[in-house]
Amino acid sequence: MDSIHQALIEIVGEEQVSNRPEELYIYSFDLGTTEPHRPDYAVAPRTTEEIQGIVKLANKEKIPVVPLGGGLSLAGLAVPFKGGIALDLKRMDSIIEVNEEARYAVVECGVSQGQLTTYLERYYPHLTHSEPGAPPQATIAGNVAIHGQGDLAHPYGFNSDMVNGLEVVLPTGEICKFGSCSIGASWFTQHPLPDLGLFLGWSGATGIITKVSLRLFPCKSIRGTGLFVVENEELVPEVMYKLSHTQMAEDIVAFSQAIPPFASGLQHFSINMAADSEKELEFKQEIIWDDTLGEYIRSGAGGFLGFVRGLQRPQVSKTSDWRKGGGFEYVGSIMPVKKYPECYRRGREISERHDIPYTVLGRCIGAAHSMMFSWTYAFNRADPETVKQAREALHETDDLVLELGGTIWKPGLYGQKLAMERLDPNTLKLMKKVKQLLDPNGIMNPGNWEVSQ
Amino acid sequence: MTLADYKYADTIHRCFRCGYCKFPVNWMDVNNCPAYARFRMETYSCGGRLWLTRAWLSGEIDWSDHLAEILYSCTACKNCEVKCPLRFNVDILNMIIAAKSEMVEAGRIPSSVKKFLENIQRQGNPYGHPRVKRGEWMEGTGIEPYQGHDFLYYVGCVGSYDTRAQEVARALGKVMQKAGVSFGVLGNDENCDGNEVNKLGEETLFEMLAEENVAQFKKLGIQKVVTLSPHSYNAMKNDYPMFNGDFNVMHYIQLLDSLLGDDRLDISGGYNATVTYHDPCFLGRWNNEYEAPRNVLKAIPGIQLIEMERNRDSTLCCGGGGGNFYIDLLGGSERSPARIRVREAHATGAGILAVACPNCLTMFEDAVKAEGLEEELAVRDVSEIVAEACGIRVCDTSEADAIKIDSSQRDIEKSGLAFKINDWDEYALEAALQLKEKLGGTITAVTVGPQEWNDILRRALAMGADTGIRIDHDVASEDPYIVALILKTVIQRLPHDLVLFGAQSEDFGSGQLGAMVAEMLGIPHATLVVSLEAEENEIHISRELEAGTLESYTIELPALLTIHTGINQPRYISLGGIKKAMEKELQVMSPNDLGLSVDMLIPMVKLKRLELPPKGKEAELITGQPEATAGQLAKTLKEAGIF
Repeated sequence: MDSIHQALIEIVGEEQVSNRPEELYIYSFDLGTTEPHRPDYAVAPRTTEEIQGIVKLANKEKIPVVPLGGGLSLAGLAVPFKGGIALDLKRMDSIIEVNEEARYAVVECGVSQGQLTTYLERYYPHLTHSEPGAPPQATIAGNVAIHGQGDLAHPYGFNSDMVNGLEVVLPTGEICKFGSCSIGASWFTQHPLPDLGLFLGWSGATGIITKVSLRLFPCKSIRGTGLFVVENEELVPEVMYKLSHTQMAEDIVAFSQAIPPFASGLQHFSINMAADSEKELEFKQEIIWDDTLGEYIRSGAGGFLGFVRGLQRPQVSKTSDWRKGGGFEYVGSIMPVKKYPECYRRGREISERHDIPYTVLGRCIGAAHSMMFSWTYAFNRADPETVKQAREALHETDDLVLELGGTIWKPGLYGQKLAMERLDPNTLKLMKKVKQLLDPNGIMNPGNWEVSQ
Repeated sequence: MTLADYKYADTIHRCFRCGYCKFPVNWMDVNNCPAYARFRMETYSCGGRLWLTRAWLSGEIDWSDHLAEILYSCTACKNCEVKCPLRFNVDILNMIIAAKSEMVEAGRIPSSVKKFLENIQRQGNPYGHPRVKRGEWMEGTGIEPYQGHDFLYYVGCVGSYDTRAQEVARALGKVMQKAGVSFGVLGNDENCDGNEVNKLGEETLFEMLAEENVAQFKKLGIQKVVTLSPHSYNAMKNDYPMFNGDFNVMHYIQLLDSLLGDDRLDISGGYNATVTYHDPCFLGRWNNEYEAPRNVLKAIPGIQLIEMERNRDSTLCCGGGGGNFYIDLLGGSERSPARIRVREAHATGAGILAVACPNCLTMFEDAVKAEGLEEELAVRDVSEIVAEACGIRVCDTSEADAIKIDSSQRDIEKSGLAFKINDWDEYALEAALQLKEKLGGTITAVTVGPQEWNDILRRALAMGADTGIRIDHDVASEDPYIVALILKTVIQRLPHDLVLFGAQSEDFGSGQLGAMVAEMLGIPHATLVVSLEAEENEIHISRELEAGTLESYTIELPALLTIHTGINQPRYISLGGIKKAMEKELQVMSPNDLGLSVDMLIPMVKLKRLELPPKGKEAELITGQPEATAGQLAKTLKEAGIF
């Protein structure tokens, strides 16, 4: 047994370390199209102190550390491109605190979306969090780290905007706290203490988030989804602006897809609403359907498809089985809302050229300050040609995002390279300085956001 | 077997590893896959298992013990199938079982699984206990053998042989007697239902068990079956119809529910306790029976029923399915699913954890002890609770002796016993097979013994030997010199580069045969060999000395080696393999055929007498947390002069 393996066993225990082919195989993969790369070890720690020990060892041995949450970024962000230690964080799954008055939850980094959703529904039904569309195994910390967005993005923004505080293990092994918790107070606010920008959006290349304090929001007793449809994609931005102006919705998503065929070419809106009484619900419905969307409905430009009570939470996605292929990946972007029509048209063209049924989606963030626009490409894992097609479509779409004036959300290596080619040179220099300062030995998720000379 | 040959080749790639399968239906916890809850590595999740299966079959990774353990850690609890939102979910367990079948046919399965299946092949139960002991649980109960009764009461292996589960078998029998149910049992004639065999991937053995059971039931005119175990219920209800076994099958809880509904059971005695009920997988998720147990418990005066967070189709498996109540791949940790579940039960505040499955019963009782909760939480089968409410008291019986000395006092009673290949010989045969796979050649398996030992030779042939030879001679209590002489005479007649013996036998343990035969043949030999590598004319071996010291030799061929245990992992012999081996040659000769007269076979060493060790008068059961029990055990052993 090599000395690193032995040292890892001493930190986490024998059962939580493996260098056997089976673990190395599984932990080499992202679930999307990124080519696999084998780690040297797979490790599943339970505590912040264990992570600290692993990071210190990694610095000593100059071996990479690649943190992994739910593994559902689908951008290869936790693929061990340079080998090293694949750090599975899902054993750190304790919900430490829910503070009802200040409306926040403190969770360990391995707590999953589904776990928090159900916990709140059961014990704090008047509180909720912004749940992304990812499978519920996705972690709270991972989603925050990639600037994810969920079903409360319209009123409250990115999930990273909902952070009160973090506990982080630095690449050099120190444990740091950010936000009010860092001065010994409760975890109720991030501001006005020094911000958390060093660890979010960095794909785990600057440290390992071990705890998150996440803002919670009022959960009303009646929640449901209304569906609206237009044929003309040019109408989508104005509909989104108008809907966001009402401040009546919790979530506004526009989407279009080739399957089922009758829906192809149509632009659907799913609009989540919530109310604590029938009176409130009726009022909101009136504002949205009658006052705001009524003109489209009356003119025939749009159609109301009904309102269904109850939200499916955790959300269940069947996208991966569309081609009976067990695989899909998507390019997510943060786009100006006005770009929706072009994003749709260009994305559809890319999909059709690669013989992939198109799927696009735009989620309103904030007061339509932006939208998360995604293009999804399904593939058949058993057919390498479809994987290749999907990968090519994804790369083309990465290029498209920047061409259209957006930013790539959670970019993989290809998208990171594109972004860095366009980044302000001084910003790039600063990124390099930050990375070198925090990670002098370059052990943290190497390959990601590596600024070349 | 390649991916192209795999039955689910067009489906197995469809798993996205999204992780829904880890959650219970009510999403309360992300660790509802028992193997994933235990190990928390992605390899042990359902998705990890499917991806690894595909990787193995497509040649991306090789078979290994670890891969086999990952596969066999699946308890077939069905949480993944129920939870997966994708359309191929109905085949998830089928895919895992099909992969296990591949390993079974190749003989490459964990040793505990191998033992489980071999015991069933030989004795019709996974414990390897004699068939003649199967009906002992019913002694003193007045329960009748089946003879045209309304119901066959099918007890199953766990209820028949596990001492704790036997109490449940008796309790249920007493309850049915009290209710005036017309039922009988098969006793020693009962055979394994095959449910776990099926989930372990031994298709041929399962088919044989199902066919034999169906034939037996039909011959007896059985139409209605009530089972003690949900595992039996599942096999008979869902799988036996494929073998023309269309019986009216109930799990006992359904019968009790019906009896209570018809006022045929007086439960006025009540049962004052706070009870939480655990839904067993093969009653719940596999067969959608959630309400009958709750109806029964709620009907009993004095019971306050509290639900655990994960209940009904969200139940967390006890970790005993897929044969794991025996093969125990999920034990040994506070993260064992049984211990997690016991903690959950305890957290409800209940004093009784009620179960309706003998596997769950045994798993949870061990878990309660491991958690140190014996004073706070008791595990009871629902039948025991009902029995108490009916005022029935059920007696214990002591465990029967496994071995008896016969009237000659020079041998054991062999009736009801099934013989197997001696462990050491099995390692030797596996070593021969691995040499053959690497270098070519042929293997002849030789034994000296009575006709019953043809079965042993058949197993050797099924394992891969090319020819089998039996010298027909009774070797009971025989002088090893005589056996060596016979073997030497046989071997001399056969072309041989390498002769392999097991280092000793499990029964008499003389450890002399190999060395004697080598001397008689005039060839070099080495004993207690723990590793070997052969080249064209010589062989490199290591042999084990004390304290783990190894000494290495290079020996010129022809040579003889006696093989120690642990040198390899003997492959499993599937029932399909045994059937195929019937076509291989098996020669039988007498010593006379070898030119050995009776005068030449007079033993110089004679066995005087066999006797069992004297029975002790008392036993001390040490319970509690490992730290405490280890200290107490050390103290007890020291006081007894062992240390």
